[in-house]
Amino acid sequence: MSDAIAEAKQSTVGLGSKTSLGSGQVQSRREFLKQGARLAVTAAVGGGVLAACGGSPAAHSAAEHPKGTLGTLTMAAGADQWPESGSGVKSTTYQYPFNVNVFDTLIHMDHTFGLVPSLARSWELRPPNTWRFHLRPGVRFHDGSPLTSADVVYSMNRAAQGGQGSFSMIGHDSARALDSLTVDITPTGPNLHLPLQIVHPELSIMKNGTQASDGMGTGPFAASSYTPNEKVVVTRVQDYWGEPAMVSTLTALFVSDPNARLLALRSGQVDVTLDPPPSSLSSLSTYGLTSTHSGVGETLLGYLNIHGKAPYDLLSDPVLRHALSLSISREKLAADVLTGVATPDPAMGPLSVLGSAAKYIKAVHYSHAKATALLDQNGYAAGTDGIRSKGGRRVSLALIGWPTIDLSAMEFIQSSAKAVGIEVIIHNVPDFTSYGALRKAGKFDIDLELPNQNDADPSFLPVLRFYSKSKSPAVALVAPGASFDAMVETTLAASDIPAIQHDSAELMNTLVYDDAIVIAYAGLWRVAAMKPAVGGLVLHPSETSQLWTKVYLR
Amino acid sequence: MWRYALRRVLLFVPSLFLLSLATYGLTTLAPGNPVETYLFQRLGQEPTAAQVVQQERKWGLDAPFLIRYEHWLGGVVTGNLGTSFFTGEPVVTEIGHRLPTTLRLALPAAALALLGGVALGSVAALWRDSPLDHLVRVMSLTGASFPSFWVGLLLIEVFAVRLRVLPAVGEAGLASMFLPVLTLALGPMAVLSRVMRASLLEVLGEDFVRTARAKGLSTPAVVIRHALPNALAVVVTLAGSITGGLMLGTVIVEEIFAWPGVGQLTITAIFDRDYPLIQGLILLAGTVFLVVNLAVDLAYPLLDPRVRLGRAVG
Amino acid sequence: MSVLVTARRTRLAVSGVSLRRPRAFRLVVGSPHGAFAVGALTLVGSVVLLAPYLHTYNPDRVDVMQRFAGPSWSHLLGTDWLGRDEWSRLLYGGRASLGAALVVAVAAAVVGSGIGVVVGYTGGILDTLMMRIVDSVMALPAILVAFAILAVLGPGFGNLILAMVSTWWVGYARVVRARVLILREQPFVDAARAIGSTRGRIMVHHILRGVRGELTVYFGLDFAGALLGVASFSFLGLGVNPPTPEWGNMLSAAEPYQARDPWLMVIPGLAVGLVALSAYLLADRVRDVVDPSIQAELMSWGGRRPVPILAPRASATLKGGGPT
Repeated sequence: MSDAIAEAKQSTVGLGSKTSLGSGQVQSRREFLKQGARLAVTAAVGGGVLAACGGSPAAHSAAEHPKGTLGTLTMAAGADQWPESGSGVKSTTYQYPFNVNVFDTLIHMDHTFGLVPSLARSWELRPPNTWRFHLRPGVRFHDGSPLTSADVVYSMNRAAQGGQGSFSMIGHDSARALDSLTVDITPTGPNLHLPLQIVHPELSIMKNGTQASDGMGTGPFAASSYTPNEKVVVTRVQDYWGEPAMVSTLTALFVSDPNARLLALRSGQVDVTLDPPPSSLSSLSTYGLTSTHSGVGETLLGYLNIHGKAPYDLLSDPVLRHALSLSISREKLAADVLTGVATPDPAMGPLSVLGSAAKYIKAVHYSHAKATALLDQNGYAAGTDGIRSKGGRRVSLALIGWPTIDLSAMEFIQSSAKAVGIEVIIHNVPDFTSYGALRKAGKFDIDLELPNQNDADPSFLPVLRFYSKSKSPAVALVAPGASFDAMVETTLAASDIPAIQHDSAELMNTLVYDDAIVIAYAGLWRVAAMKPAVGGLVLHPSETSQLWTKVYLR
Repeated sequence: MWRYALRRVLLFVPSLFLLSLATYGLTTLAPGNPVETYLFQRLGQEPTAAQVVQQERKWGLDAPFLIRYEHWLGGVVTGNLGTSFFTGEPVVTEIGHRLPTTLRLALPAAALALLGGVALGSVAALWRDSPLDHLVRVMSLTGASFPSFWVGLLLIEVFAVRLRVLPAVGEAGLASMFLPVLTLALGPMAVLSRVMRASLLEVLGEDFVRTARAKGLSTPAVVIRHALPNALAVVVTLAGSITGGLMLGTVIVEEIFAWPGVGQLTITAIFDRDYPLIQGLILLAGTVFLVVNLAVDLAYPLLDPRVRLGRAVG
Repeated sequence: MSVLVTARRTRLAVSGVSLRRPRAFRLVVGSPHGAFAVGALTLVGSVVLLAPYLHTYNPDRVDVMQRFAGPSWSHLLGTDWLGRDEWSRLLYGGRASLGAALVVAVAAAVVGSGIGVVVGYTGGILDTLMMRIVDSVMALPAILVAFAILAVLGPGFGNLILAMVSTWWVGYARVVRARVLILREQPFVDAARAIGSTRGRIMVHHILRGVRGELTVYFGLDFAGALLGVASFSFLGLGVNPPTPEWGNMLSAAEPYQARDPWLMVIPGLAVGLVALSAYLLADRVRDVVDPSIQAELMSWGGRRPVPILAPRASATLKGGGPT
C-alpha cells in the first residue's frame, strides 16, 4: 500500500518537474517539494510497513513526452570523477555525474531528502541493530543477469573493504543473505540511522564480482563508453525495472573550468552546463538560454577555531564569535553576491532534510548595531584604521577555506567583518592538500567549508565535525564539549526519523545560535544552464543522487 | 664529434639526477599530505588517523625521504616509474594515455609557429624597414604581449560564441584544434619571426650570398637556395626554448580548452601531491628538454655550411 | 671561422657605444616604436604612481548595490562583481603588478648576472657545475618550482616573487656567461690582468661593463615576461591574497564573469598587454641603439650561435684570426 504512496509521489514529482520550467514558478515548486518531504517522511518512517505490492512504478511518463524519437543530450560537467580506473576496491561508485544512473542503490533519496524504495522494496529494523532489506524481484543487470542478495552482499563487502562503508559502520561480515531476495545488514556498532545513510551512491549495488569501473549495475542507463578526463557516454536501458529514461544517449564532457563550461553552452556545443559560474545566470537570457536550480544541498559554513593556540586563539572569546556572526548580512550575501545560486538559510544544512523540524531552527539576524555594541561593551576598542583591539591585541583573523568556494563570498565576509572592526585575512589556497595542511596545523581562525548533504541523515554534519568522539580528526579545534556530546548521543540512539530530525535541529541551534561556533552563511542550490529545448530537468540538491531519467529534448 | 656527443650525454645524466632530486625534495617539503586528500576524495569524508596511517604505509610514505628517493631511483634505472597514488595505474601508462593528446596540440602549434614565424620573419627581412617590416615586428610582439589564457578566452568568445564557426572546448576533430593551437602558437611565433628576420638579414649580408649574387643568380633564387637554409639553421637552435615555452603553454591552454593532456595531468598531480606522477612528469619534461637541446647542438653543424667550412679549415 | 669573427665584430660594437644618457635617450625616442613605448610606459607608470591622488574610491570598498555597473562619471570604468570601483582597482593593481614585475626582473638580473660573471670568468669545475644546475633549473617546469615554493612558504605576493626569481635567474646566467667567455679573452682584459688588476675589479669594471647593453635589453624582455608570468600564476590560483588588487588577479578573478561582464576581463588584460608590448618595443629599440648589429638582435631573441664543436678553443683562434 505504501508503494502506492511512493508511486503517487513519483508521478507528482514528475508534475513538479514540469512546473519548474518557468522560472516564475520556482517558488511553487519548492513549496511543492516541501509537501513531498512530508510525504517522503511518512513513506520512510515505518520501513517495515512497506510491504511488497509488486509491480514497478510504470513508465506512464512517456505520455508527457513530445512525439518523435528519443533525443541525445550532451552536457558539460565538472572534472572527471567517473569511477577511478584503478582495480579492486579503489574505485568507488558514488562519483559524479552519472553513477547513480548506472548503479541503483537499495534506497533512493528524492529531491527533498526523502527515502524512496529502490532495489529494496521494503526494509525493517530487527532490534537491536540489524536492518533487513527485501529486494525487488525481477530486477536485471545490464547484462541480463538477475539481481540477487549475493550481489548486495558482494557490494557491501566491497564497500567495507574500500573504506566507503566506514561511515555507516558497514564491516566485512555486516551483510548476510537470508534467501535470494532478503539481506540482513548489521553495522559493526550501533547505527540506527542506516536507511538514511544507505541512499548514498557509494553504497550502491553492482554485480557480484565486478568493479565499479566495469559499470555493471541495474540502473536506467548503461555505461557505453568512457574516455578518461574527456567524456563519458551512457545509453538508455529499454527494459529498466522502473521508469525508463526519455533520452536515448547521455554524454557528459568533462570541463573543469566553470567559465569554459558555460562557453561550451553559449557556443551551442552542449545542451546543458552544470554549475555554471555564479552571476552568469542573469545574463543567460541575452544568449537565448535558460537555467534551473535545485533546492539547497550545500551550505556555506564557517567553523570558528575555539581551541586554537596563539595567534589563532582570538575566537575562544564567545563575544567575538557572536559579533562576527552578527556582522554579516546573509540576505545581501545570497541576493547580491551569490546571486541566483544561494538562499540565506539559517541552518547548518539544508532545511528540507530536517523535515517538519525545520521550524525549530533559530536564525542569527544581521545587526551592525548589535555587533558593534557587543564589541564596545566588552573592551574591543577601535584603532585608527577602524580595526579593534583588546589588551593590545589586534583583532585580525585568518580565514581559510575550500579552494572551490567562490572568492567573492570570502571577500564579502571580509568586508562585512571589517565594517564592525574585525580584520579578516584571506589565505588563498590553490588546492585541497594545502588547505588540509593549514587546517591540520590549526593555522586558522575561520574555516570555510561547503559541505554537501549527500544522504538523508540530518545529524551527519554535527556528529562528524563536532562530536568529540567522532572519527574525524578535524573536530579537535571546534568541538564544544561534554554537554554537546550528550546531545549527540541522544540523537544517535533515535531510529524514528522525526525524532532524528528534531534532535538534529537542536544540535544545529547549539552550534550556530547558542555557542556561535558555526556561522551559517548561506544555503546553496545546484544550478544548470541549458538550451530552451531541454525539458524535464529537475536538479537534485545532492549531485550524487541526480537522476537523468526525466530529461527530454523538445 | 662523437666524443662531444658522448660528453653531452654523460653530462645530461647528472643533470637529470639533480633535477629529480630537487623535485623529490620540493614535493616532500610541500606541506599537505596526499594521503588525506586521497582518502577525502575517495571516502567523501574526513579520514580517521588510523586510515591515514594505514594508507601511508601502503604507499611507502612512512619511510624517510632519502630511502624513498633511493627506492624510486632504483625503479627508474630498471624502467619502473612507479604507480600513481590516485589512480593506481603505472605512471608510464598514465602519461602514455595523455601524451598523444598534448602532442596533438603541441606539434601543430610548433609547426604553425615555425611556418608563421619563418614566413613573417622572411617578409620582414626582405622588405627591411618598410611599413610591412614594422607591421610584422609590432604584430608579432603584440601576439606575445597578452596572457595566453586571456587570448584563449577571447578567441573562444569571438569564434565559438559570437561567430559559432568553431567549437569552444574539448577535443572533437580538426575544427576543435584551431583555437587552442593558435593560442599556443602566438608566443613562440613572435620569437621565431624575430629570430628569422634577424638571421635572414645577417645571412643576406654574408660573403657567400654576395658571391652567389655576383655570379648572377636572381634575388629569389639566392634567398631560396642560399639564404633561407642558412637562416633556418639559426631558427633550429631555438627548438629548446620553444619546447620549454610550449610545455608551460600547454598547461594553461589545456585547462581553458578542456584538453585532457599532460598539462592538465601535471596540475592535477601537483594539487594532489601525487608524488610518483609528479616525478614521472618532471622526468619526462626534463628529458624532452635536454634531448631537444642535445639534438640541436648535434644537428647544428650539419645544418650550417659555415660551421662545416670551419671544420675543413680548422 | 666566420662565427668567431662575427663574435669579435659584436664585441667591438658593444664596447664602441657609450651609454651616455642624453644621446641614448634621444636615439631611443627617435623612432616611432621607441617613442610609443616610452610614452606608454611613462603614462602608465605615472598614473599608477599617482594612484593615491587619482583614485576615486578605496579600491577595496564593497558596494553590492552597485555590482556590474557600467562606466559613469562616478565609476569611470564601471564596477566589478562586488561593486568595487574598477578604475581605482586598476590603478592600485598596476602598482602591485608593475612593482612585482620590476622586483622579479631586477632580482633575477642581479642574481643571474652575478652568477654568470663569476662562473664564466672563473671557469673550471665551478663553471661546469653551475651550468648543470642551470640546465636542471631550465628543465624544471617553472610552475612546479613556483608551486612547491608557494606551498612551502604559503601563498603570498612576496613568495610568488621569490618563486619566480628562483627560476628566472638562469636566463641571465646563461646570457652573461656566454658573453663573459668571449670577453675574458679580449686584449683589454689581458691588459688589465697584466697591470695587476684584481679579479673582482676585472669582473666589475671590464666584464660587467661589457655586458651592460645586453643586460639592458634582456631586462626589458624579462620585465614583460615577469608581468605575464604573474598573471599566469594568478590564473592557476597561485597569486596575490585578496582583496589586494593586482592585474593578473583581477583578470583571473573576472574570468567567471565573462558572460556577464566581459569588460572586467578585457580592461586588466589590455593594461597588461599595453605595458608588456611597450617593454618589448623599448627593449628592441634600446638594443638597436646600444648595438645596431643584426647579430645582437638575433641574440636578444634567443637565437644563438654555439661555438662550433669541432673548432679549436676560442682563445687560440681569436688571436690567430679567421680565414675570412
